[in-house]
Amino acid sequence: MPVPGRICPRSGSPAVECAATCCAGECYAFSPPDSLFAEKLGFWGKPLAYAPPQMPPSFEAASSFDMVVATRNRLFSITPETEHGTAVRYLKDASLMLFMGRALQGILKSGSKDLIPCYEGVLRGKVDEDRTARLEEIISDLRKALPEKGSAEVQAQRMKGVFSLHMASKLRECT
Amino acid sequence: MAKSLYENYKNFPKTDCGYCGNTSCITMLRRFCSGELPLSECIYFRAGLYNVNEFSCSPPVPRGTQKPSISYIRPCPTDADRISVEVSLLPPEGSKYGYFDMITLDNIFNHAVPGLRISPSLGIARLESEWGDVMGFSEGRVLIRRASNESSAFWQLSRFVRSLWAAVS
Ligand code: SF4
Repeated sequence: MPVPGRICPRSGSPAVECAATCCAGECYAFSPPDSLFAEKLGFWGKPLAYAPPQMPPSFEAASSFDMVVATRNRLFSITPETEHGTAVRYLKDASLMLFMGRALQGILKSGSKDLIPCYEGVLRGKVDEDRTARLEEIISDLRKALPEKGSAEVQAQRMKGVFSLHMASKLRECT
Repeated sequence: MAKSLYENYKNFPKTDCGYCGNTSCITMLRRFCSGELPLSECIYFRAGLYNVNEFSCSPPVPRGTQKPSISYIRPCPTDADRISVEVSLLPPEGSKYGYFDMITLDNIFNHAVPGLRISPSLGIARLESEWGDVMGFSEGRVLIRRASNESSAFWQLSRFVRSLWAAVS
């Protein structure tokens, strides 16, 4: 857990990735980068309200959904008029999409069909602590298996699927 | 000879698989460069698919004790009716990694936003628009030129740095 005003032990990760590792969001990466000159910003109208992201309904639909574009659009939803709490939610949404996009790639490239129900659970936004624990077990088993030249690519892609799902699952628990 | 972070990154696996425990390959590489982690943590190096000896970088220099500040607000040298503003957004004291991670930005935005150009090798992001040209540097300096007035300048700066928030590290 990062200490406010101090460098997080995970520092080196950009905020869009940190968002998944830290529920509290106390890290300096979660304070708006424009807070230095906040009083110089003149606003007109109301602060913009949170609008939930559109997520594909299934693994199959996700396969033809561009998560990178969705991530980018979420980040561009953060405007000077976006209130801090809403802005952090958008950042977390972007993080979710980033990891769901990576998870999809990992699952497809490694042929890890066993992860599809888990993927769909995260897509639907279901909070499931057992799922997070199961993913942690798979991660730990994958790390125990010594990688070999011939199988490392598939192992890495499976790991990408599981690890990214784990990050996304944790994000669902945090928001 | 030590290479830049970006030179090393270009030849890195870039799978972002998390085997090494980091959220992405760029984070692993930064931690390798700062001496925190050996490359053998990476699955590809461990499997012998990548050679440790092909990667080398100088440790990053921790930032000093300067404080975040508005460096200046002044008329543009080429057009006195317009103004330039520069701000320094800084990570916490002692941070080794700079402020904006331009490699992550390049991976996310990837030439897809009109007017936004990112150079991870130079550590610069630039957004050109009719309301002024904004430039951000990886160490956290951000400046706008040709803004029509002070409030527009700060609005554009805010819009720009909030769009890059994802890469604050
Ligand atoms: S194990 Fe290697 S490929 Fe995977 S995230 Fe770490 S550095 Fe990248």
